[in-house]
Formats: sequence, C-alpha cells, structure tokens
Amino acid sequence: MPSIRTLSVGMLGLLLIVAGVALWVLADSTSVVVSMPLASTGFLWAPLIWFLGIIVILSAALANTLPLKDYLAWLLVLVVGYLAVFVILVSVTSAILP
Amino acid sequence: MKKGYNMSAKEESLLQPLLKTGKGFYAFVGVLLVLTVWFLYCWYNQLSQGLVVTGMRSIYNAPNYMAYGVAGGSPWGIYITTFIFWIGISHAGIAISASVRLMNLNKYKVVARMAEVLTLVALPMAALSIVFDVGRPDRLFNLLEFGRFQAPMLWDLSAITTYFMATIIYLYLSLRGDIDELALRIPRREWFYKRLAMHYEGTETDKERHKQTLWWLAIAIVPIMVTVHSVVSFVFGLMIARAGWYSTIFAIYFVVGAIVSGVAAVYSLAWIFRWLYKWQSLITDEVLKGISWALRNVLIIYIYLWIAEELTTTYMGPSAEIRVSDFLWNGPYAPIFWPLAVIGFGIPAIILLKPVFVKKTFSPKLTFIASIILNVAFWVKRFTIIVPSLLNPPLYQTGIYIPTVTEASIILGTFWLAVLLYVVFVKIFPIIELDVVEA
Amino acid sequence: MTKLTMIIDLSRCIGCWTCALGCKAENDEPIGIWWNRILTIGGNEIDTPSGTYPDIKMNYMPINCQHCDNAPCIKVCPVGALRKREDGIVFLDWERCIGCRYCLIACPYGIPAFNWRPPVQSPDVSQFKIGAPEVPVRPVGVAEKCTFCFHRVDKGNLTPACIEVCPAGARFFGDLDDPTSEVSQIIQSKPIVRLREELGTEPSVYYVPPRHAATPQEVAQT
Repeated sequence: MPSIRTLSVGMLGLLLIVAGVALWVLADSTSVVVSMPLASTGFLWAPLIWFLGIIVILSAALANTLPLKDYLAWLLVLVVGYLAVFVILVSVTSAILP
Repeated sequence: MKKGYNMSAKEESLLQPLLKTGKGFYAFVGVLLVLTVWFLYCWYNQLSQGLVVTGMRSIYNAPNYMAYGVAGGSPWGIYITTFIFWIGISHAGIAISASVRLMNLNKYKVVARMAEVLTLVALPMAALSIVFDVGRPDRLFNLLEFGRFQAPMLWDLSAITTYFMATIIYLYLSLRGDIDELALRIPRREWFYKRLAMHYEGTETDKERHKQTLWWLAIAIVPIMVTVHSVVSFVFGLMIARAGWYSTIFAIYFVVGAIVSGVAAVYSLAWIFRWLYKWQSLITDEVLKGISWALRNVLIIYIYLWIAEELTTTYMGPSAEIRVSDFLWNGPYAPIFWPLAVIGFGIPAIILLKPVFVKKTFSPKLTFIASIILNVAFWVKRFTIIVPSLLNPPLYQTGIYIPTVTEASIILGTFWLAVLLYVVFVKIFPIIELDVVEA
Repeated sequence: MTKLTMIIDLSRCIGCWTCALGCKAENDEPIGIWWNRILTIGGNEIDTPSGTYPDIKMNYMPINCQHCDNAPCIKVCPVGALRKREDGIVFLDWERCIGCRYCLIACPYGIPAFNWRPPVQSPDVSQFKIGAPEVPVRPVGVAEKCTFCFHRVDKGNLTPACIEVCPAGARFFGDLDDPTSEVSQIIQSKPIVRLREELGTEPSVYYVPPRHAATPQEVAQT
C-alpha cells in the first residue's frame, strides 16, 4: 500500500495534468479571430502546466522511496533542470541569431 | 569499514572503470573534446548565417536565377533523420530493463544498466537534433506558451519529456543501492556518493520498497516507450500531402525499427565493454547469444514490415507514390538504397540467421559486426524514408538534397556529446549492477 | 460571413509573372522568396511546352496559398502560428513561428516559403521600407506565405496586389458569400476547378481551365 505521501504526490501530478489539458482545450487558438494578426492570444502556458504535471506524477516513485527533504530536492532538480534547458538554449541562441 | 575494505576479485573487476583510468581514456576524451569544439563552431555559423548553410531547401521549385539557391529541395534532412535515430536508440533501455524486471529474466540483468544509460543519453541528443533544425531556437518557449495539442510535434515533446523523466527516476532508484555501496568501496569519493545516496537505509524493507516501486515504474514505462516512437511516426504517417509517408503501418513500423536499432546498440555496447574490461565471466556468451536471438526476431519482423510497405506503394500505386519509389529503386538514390538493403540489412540478417540453421555457430564477434552494421543501416534507412518523399512533391519537379559539411559537423556533435556523457557515467557509476557479483 | 475567394482564369494567363512581382513588391519579399509563382504546365523547364512539334501544348498556372478551409498547415503547426481568420484568410504569424518547417511539409501545394538566410533585398535598399508599411520584414528562420493581402482587406480594399497588377485581367478576388460579387458570378457562369480536390483541403482558390488543355482533371493533376 503506497504511503500517503506517494498518493498525494500522484494526485497533485494528476491534477496538474488535467488542468493543463483543460486549459489547452479551452484556449485552442487555432481558429481565433484576430484582425490584427500579430496580436498574441491564448496566452496561457497550458502546455507547461501539463509538462509539470507529468514530472510530478512520475516523481511519485521518488516520493515513495526517499526521505521528504531529499524527495523535494530531487523534484526541484527535475523541474528547474527541465526549464533550465529551455532557458539556456533560448538565451544562447538569441544572442547569436540576427 | 572505510580504509582497507576488502573487495572480492569479482567486485574489483566490475569496478575497474571507476578505480583505474589510463592514458587511453584521456586521449579518447581529448579527441572528443576537439571534435566538440568544431561542432560548436559550426553551430555558431548556422545560427549567425541561417539554415542556408545546410543543404535543406524549400519545396517549391523555381529557376535558380529566381530562387537564389533557396528552393527546389528538401526542407528536412539529416537533422530530422538523426532525431529519429536517437529516439530509436533510446528504445533499448526500457525494452531490456522492463523485460528483466517484469519477466524475471535475471540472466540479462548484467546489461540492464548500460541499456538504461543509453536511453538517458539518447533522449537529450534527440531533443538537441530538433533544436538544430528549427529556424528560430530563440523562440523555444513558444512551445510551452502556445503549444497546440493537435500538433504531432507537441505529442513528440510530451512523450519524450515523459520518457526521459521516467528513465532518469528509474535509473536513480535502481542505482541508489550501488551508490551507497560505492561510498564504502571508493573512500576518496565517499562524500559524493553519500550525498547522492540521500540517506539510503539499505535495510531489507527499504530494498523491498525500491523493488516494488521500480516494478510499477517499469510497467508504466513500457506503454510510454511504445507511445514515443508511435508519435514520432505520426509526424510523417499522417501527412496526406506526402507520397511515401502517408501510410497506416508507420507507427508499428517505426516502433519495431526502434527496438531493432536499440537492441543492436546494446549488443554493441555489451560486446565493447566485455572486450575492454575483460568481463567474459560477467557478460557471458549465453547473455550475448540471448540478446542476438531477440535482435534476430525483431529484425525479421522489421524486414517483413518493410516489404509490406514497398509492395503497397508500388503494386498499383498512385503516380506520386511510384515516383518516390522509383527515385529510390532506380533513380538518384539507388546507390544508397541497394547497398542499404543488401549490405546494411542482408549481411546482418545472414549473420543472425546462421546459428538457427547451422548449430553451434554463434560468434559473438561476428554478431558484434552485424550490430554495428545494423546501427548504421538504420540511420540510412530513416534517411531513405524522409528525404525522397520530400524531394518528389506532386506539383513540382524532383529536387536535390546534399548535406553540407557544416550540417554534418553539427549533427555529429550529438554523437560526440553522447559518447562523452556516456563515458563520464561509466567512470563515476558501475555500468553493471553490483548485485550481479554479490550472489 | 465573408468568404474571401480568389479565381485565376488560366485561359487568360500569359505567364508574365507580373502578379508574382507585384506580390513581391507589396510584401517586401527578400531574394529567393516567392509567395506567388507561375508554374508552366508543359515541359520540364519554365516556359517550355510538352509534346513534339507540331503537337505541343503549354499553359501557365499561377499558384499561391490556397487558404484552405480544412488546411493541413494549421493542423500541424506546433505553436499555432497559422490561424484561420473569420474572413477565410489563413494567416501565418511571423512573430510566433519557430521555423520548424512542418507547414512546408504538410502543405499539399508546397506553398510556404522559408527564410533560410537573413532577408536580403537586391538591390540593397535597406534604408527604405519596401512595400506596404503594415507588412513587416520577417526575420531569418521563419516561414511566410501569401496573406491574401490582409493589410488591404482590413482597410476595406478587396484588391490584393496580384489582382491589381495583372495585365491580362486573369485574376479575380472577392467575397463568395456575396452573390453580387464578381467571383460569385464567375463561379456560376464558367467551369471551375480546384487543385488536389481529392485531398479534402477545401481551398479558396479556383481555376478556370485553359482553352487548349484537355480536362479540368488534367489541369488539377499537373
């Protein structure tokens, strides 16, 4: 029987996933009417919430086997690491791209 | 228990890479670093001058005096080919690990970890290949901000993120026990290993909990693995506009292909490590034979699917499909296609099938050569799937695609980085699980 | 509801490329990039006929974004840079495009162009803005394509640049939902065909077949 901690982490992950997908579906900006084409729409970061949900739900495995502090450290590493990849790539390339 | 901890001879043999580092290693890493610098320079050129430095071009055709060399070609080339290649390689990890854990095939435990690390290294390289391919990598955040769930590329990003996160968690949990043991065995790195083990208890209940968790994780990862390559195949298979791509069997075709190339890569690695560290007693002939048996079976399935593909497109095919097939069979890419079929697939098939018909002729070394040929062949195979369809658009004349040196240097960068990351892992963590020798 | 539609009369087109150049000037397209191209229905090279003399045949077919109702490019764009406006225009948002070139691949007509290099005009008149001020210069690494001159449409002028400059009067543009518009009348009175109809993309560009071609199917299959 998985611990309360594991179950709650799993639930949190699932919640994020569902929230991400729901926001995504609701804000589908494919056929939005924009007469000024360069205006941005659907500015919701829904995919990011979905990805965070995936990371959290998978981290339930770590929640089940690690002490709390160490689990939180790992979760932080995974989330920050994932975003850091984007940040590094974007900042390096935007400095070089004309 | 710190200083003077006595390791058995078997343990010491397994931990060779961590205990001894020769000049050969440093020379090897040095060469890789030089190649990496060249790759970075080429990438810088591509970023500052635009993708025109590659051989890729827009689909539409125009006379060259009008097009100024930017039309009449293939918009995707070796970057996307290598992306699919790395995804294929990444299938090895969990295919083997899951089989071992879920089906109790303990004989193959000895190659489980090297397969998992292969996945861990291959997935970021796949993502990097895509970053090289997009025109504006400074807008990558748009994927997270505006991503559309109807787009096959977002399915890719989701599946790869899931697969990578699952693999790194899986690897850590299965490695944790070994890390804790290493703190005792390698005193000078004790601080590092102790930190990384994160208060590992090592009791029987703790070990049992790890085993349970890993079992469930393995069950979750198997459908993820199938999903990853299926969504990659959908990027191509759903395109009604492209003859040669629009096909119903692409999902299973790509998944089977990934399993073949992944298992072939694991065989190659297993053989190399066995040869390098004299691990004949750990990675026995029996183990290698078993891997080659699996390789043979999936290869046969793959060849069957390939034949089905070719036959369907050419039997009474629409003219667009015939044009693409003709381009491969008789046209400009025939010098790539036929050697691929005969040498790239034919020779490994013969090597792998021979022990079936002629008893006791399994040769680890010959099978190793077959696995290397297969890995190269699969890269070329993906190339022949992607580029000919793009060079033969229905409304225009056939274009040409020749990768440039800059383009090749950039994509080779993923290979250098992959090897570098892999060898660093081998030097820090045991590439074979410690409990293989602690019977 | 507006349903912007373009009709190109292939029996009038003389393959002069004026529409292509008008488009290029209006939209500040750099060298190598064409939103509008004229295909030669005939031999393998531009301006060459098919067949052997005296049975030779040659026609011209201008092709630009078909602004499909069921556009494959919109479906595959990972960041939603391609969007369908209410008036029917399929718009590519140059600020959002990440340059993955999936739209180039998904388009059955091979339409979208891509900025493989930073935009260059020849001759170099970079101190001036070429074309309409509402159409910005696109950076390197993004895709671009015909917009049905959205900047003119938005100001109430239903005459894109290519329609305006055609010397043979072969191009028409208007609102198909308006029964009094020129395009509605042509559709009712002349034979029309759309490209690659069997793919179900529902393009908004119609063609009147040329006089000396065989069937509309032949034209559509070029």
